[in-house]
Amino acid sequence: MSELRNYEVTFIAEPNFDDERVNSLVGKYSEFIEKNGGEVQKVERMGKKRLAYPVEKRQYGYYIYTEVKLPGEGVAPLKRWFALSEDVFRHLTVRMTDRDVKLKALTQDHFRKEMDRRNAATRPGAREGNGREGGRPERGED
Amino acid sequence: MAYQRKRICRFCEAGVKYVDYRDEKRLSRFLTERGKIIPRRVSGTCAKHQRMLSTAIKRSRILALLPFVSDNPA
Repeated sequence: MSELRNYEVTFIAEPNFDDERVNSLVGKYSEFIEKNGGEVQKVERMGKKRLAYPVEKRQYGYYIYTEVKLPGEGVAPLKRWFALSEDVFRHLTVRMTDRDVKLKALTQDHFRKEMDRRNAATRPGAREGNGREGGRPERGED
Repeated sequence: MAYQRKRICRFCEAGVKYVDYRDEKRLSRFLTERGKIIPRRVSGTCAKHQRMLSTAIKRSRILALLPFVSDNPA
């Protein structure tokens, strides 16, 4: 078994998917990753978003972002899996080097602190360094 | 056009080490209304960050978060 690498895999499913269908899709996806010797580390449903341009006549898409560990040979089958899938019409796999992972975490951490500092400054008496996990939902958060 | 002093890179200023392709709101500030990437001679971005930025924008376009071209000035 070759070395596991970090990948960020984002895919866009049909916009009319309800929670149930999304769950089932994510389930099938996780199963596929595991079958190929990888593991899913994080799944983030970005939800239904408007596409910047129409894709096969669609205006909207349901975005799902995942972080996985996968051996390099697993990527080609994954792409094929997406291509054959009726539920997913767009996908992007990005290889994250260890350096990328580190820099991304650093940057996010930096912004979280920055936000906290700014909040503390604008709202005196507001919470002080009780390290709210996740921070604010708007900008700056990944 | 009025002469503008060379500004420092906004990413350096903000302490950004990695430009995320999913953050389309932030990235869209570096596109013209037609959807072209703004050159660094205009935006003042440093070479390192412009490189990261352009990769991020291109990835973002694949995910239809940003346009390749846009007719309607946003």
